[in-house]
Amino acid sequence: MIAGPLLLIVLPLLVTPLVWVLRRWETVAALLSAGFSLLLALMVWNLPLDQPVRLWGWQIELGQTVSLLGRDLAMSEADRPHLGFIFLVAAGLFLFAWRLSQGWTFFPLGLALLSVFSGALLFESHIFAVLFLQIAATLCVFLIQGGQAGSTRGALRFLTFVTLAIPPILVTSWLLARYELTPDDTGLLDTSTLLFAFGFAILMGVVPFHTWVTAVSTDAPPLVSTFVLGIFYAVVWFIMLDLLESFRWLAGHPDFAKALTYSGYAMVAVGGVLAAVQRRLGRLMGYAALVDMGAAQVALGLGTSAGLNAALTALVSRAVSLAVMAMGISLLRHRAEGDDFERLLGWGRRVPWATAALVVGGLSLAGLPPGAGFTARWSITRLVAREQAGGAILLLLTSVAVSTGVVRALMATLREPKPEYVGSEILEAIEAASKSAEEEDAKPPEREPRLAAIIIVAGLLLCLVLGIWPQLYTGVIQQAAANYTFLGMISP
Amino acid sequence: MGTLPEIIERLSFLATTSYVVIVMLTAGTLVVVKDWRASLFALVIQYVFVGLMLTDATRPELAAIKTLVGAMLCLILYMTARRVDWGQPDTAPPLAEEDSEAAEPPLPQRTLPTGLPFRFLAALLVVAAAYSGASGHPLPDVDETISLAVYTLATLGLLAMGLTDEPLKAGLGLLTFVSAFELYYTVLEPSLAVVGFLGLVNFLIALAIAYLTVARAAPKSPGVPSRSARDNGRKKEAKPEEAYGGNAQ
Repeated sequence: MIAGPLLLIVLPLLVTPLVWVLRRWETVAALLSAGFSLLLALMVWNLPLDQPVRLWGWQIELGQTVSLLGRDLAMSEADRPHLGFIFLVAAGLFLFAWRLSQGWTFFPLGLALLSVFSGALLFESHIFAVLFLQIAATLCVFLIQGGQAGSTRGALRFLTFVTLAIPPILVTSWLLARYELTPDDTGLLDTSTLLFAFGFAILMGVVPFHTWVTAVSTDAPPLVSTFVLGIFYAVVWFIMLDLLESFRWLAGHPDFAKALTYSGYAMVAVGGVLAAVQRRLGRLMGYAALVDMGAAQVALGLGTSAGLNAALTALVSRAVSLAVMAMGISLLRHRAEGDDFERLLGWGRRVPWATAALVVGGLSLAGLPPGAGFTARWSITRLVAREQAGGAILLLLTSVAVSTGVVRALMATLREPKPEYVGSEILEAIEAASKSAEEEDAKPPEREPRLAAIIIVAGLLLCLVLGIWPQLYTGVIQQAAANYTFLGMISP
Repeated sequence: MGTLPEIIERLSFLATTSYVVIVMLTAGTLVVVKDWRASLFALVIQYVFVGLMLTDATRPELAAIKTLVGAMLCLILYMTARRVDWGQPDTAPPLAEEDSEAAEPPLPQRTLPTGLPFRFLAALLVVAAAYSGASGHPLPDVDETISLAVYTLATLGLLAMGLTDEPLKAGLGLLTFVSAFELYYTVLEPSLAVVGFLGLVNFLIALAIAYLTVARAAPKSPGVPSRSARDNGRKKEAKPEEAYGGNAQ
C-alpha cells in the first residue's frame, strides 16, 4: 500500500526529469506538466482519506500517516483545499505558459516545487515545514532567473529576504515548544511573538520588507512572478495559519491584531501610491499585488471567520488576476522588447488580446468588477467598513490608485509613438517602401499567435466567470476557513 | 597546580575564545576585502572554526557534518568563481555599462561609498554593536562565546550582503548569516535530521548563488533579449518562443 502523502511528494519529483528531457518540445512539456498537476489536484480532491483505493494497479491510502526522517507526514481534511489550490493554479500556469515561454526552467522546476510545497504542507513538524519553505524559495531562484543573463536583482533579493525570514520562524517553533513545558515563563511568549511577527513580515512583504515583491515582478518572467506571488505566497499563508492554529496563544497576543491590521494598511497605502505612478508593467503588477496582499492581511486582522474567508478568497482571486495580467505582460514585453511605457506605444492595437488581459487582470487585481478580484476586495472593504470607516476609504482609494496605474498602461499601449523629429515619419515611410519583400517577410509577426490568443481569451473568461459567479469557489473556501479555530483568540 | 584534564578544561576557555576571534576575523575579511579568492579562503576557515566551536557545544559528528558541508559549498563557489574569471571586469561588467551602444546615456545611479576605509570602519562598528548586543542580550541556552560568535557572524553577514549587489559577494554574506544561525540552532535542536536538512538548504543556497553569479557574468545569447536590453528599450532579434531563454538553452 502506498501512503498518499508520500505519493504527493514523490510523484512530481519522478515526472520532473521527464519534463526536463522534453523541455525543448514546449507543447509536450507544457501539456504533460499541466495534465499531471491537474491529475494531482483531482486526486487530492476526490480520493477518500480513510480507506484505500486501487488506482492503476496501486493500492493508495491518501490519509495514511507515514514517518519520514523521524517526523510524521500526514494528510488531513484541512490539507485538501490547500493542496488542491496549489496543484490547480500550477496546472493553469503551466497551460498558460505553453505559448508564452517563461524560461527553460519553468516546467521541470515548477513540478519539483510542487513536490516541495506538498512536503511543506504535509509534514506535521513545523520545523520541517519551514525548512521545506526555504528549499522551495531556493528553487524559485532558478525559476525567477529563468536562464537570463544580466540583472540578478530579483532572484537575489528574493533568496536573501526568505533566508533572513526563516531563522526567526525556526527559533519561534523551538521557543513555543519550550513555552509549553514552562508556561510560567511569559518572556518566552513575548520573544516568540516578536520573532514570529518579524519572520512572517518579511515573507509576506510587509513594508519595508516589500522590496522583494516588486523586484521579483520586475525581473522574473511574468508567469513566474505569478507562481511566486500566487503559489509560494499562498503556502506561506497556509504555514502561518497552521502555526497560529497549533500555538493559539500567539494569536491571543494583545498586539497581534493591531500588528496585522496596521502592517496591512501600510502595504495597501504604499502599494497603491506607487502603483499609480509606475511606468513599467512588471513593477505595476508587483505594487498591485502588494495592495491585494495588504488587504488580505487587514481582513485577517479583523479576527472573524468572515475576515478569514475574505482573506482566503483573496488568495484565490489574486492568483487568477495575476495569471491573466501576467499573460498580457508576457506577450507585450516580448513584442515591445521591454515593458516600460515608452516601449509600449502603439502596441495595444497590434496585440489587442494581450492588452485586454493586461487591463482585465490589472483591474481585477485592483478589486474592480467584474474581475475575480472584486469579490474578495468588496468583502474585505465591507467588513472593514463596519469596524473602521477610514480603513474602508483607504481600501477604496487604493483600488482607484491601482486602476489609475492600469489605465495609464492602457493609454500608453494605445498611443502611437511620436515622430522623432519633423519629417521623420516621411523618411520612415520612404525607408519602408524601399525595403525588399524578403526583408519585410523577415520581420517578426506583430499580432498575437492564434494559439496564444486562444489561451489568453480562456484566461480572460476564467477571470470574468469567477468574478461574476464567485459561488463557484467560495463554498470550498468556507470549508477551508472552518478548519481554523484560533480566530476567537484574536482580540481586535 | 591541577591535573592535566583540569588544565585542559581551564585552557579550553582560551581555545573557544580564540575560535571566536578567528571567526570574527574571517567574517570581517568577507566585508573588508573585495578579492573573491581571499573571501572564499576566509569562508573556508570560518566553516572550520564554526565546526570547532560546535564540537564544544554539541555532538562532534554534527560539527563534522557542518564543516564538511561548508567545505563542499566553498568548492562549488570556487569552481563558479573560476568560471567567471574571479569577477574580472571584462566578464562581469557593471550593469549600467553592459550595452555600450545604448542610445541614451546611463542614468546617474546612487552609489554607496564602499571603499576600503569605509568597509573597515563599518565592520568595526558592526563588531562593536554585536559585542554590545551579545553582552546585553545573550542568547538563551548557549554560552557567552557562542552567543558572541552568533551575533558577530550574523551582523557581519548582513553587512556583507548590504554592501554589494554582486551575487557571489552577497552570497558569501548570506552564507555567513546562515552559518551564524546554524551555530545557534544546532545547539538548540541537535537532531541529525534537522542538521541534514540545514545542510541541504546550505547546499541549495550555494548552488543558487553559483547560478546567479554565472548568469550575471554570462555574455548574452544573440537570440535572447536580456533584462538590460529590455530596460534600455533596445531592439534585439528574438524568436517568440525563445523569450526568457526559452528553447535557446
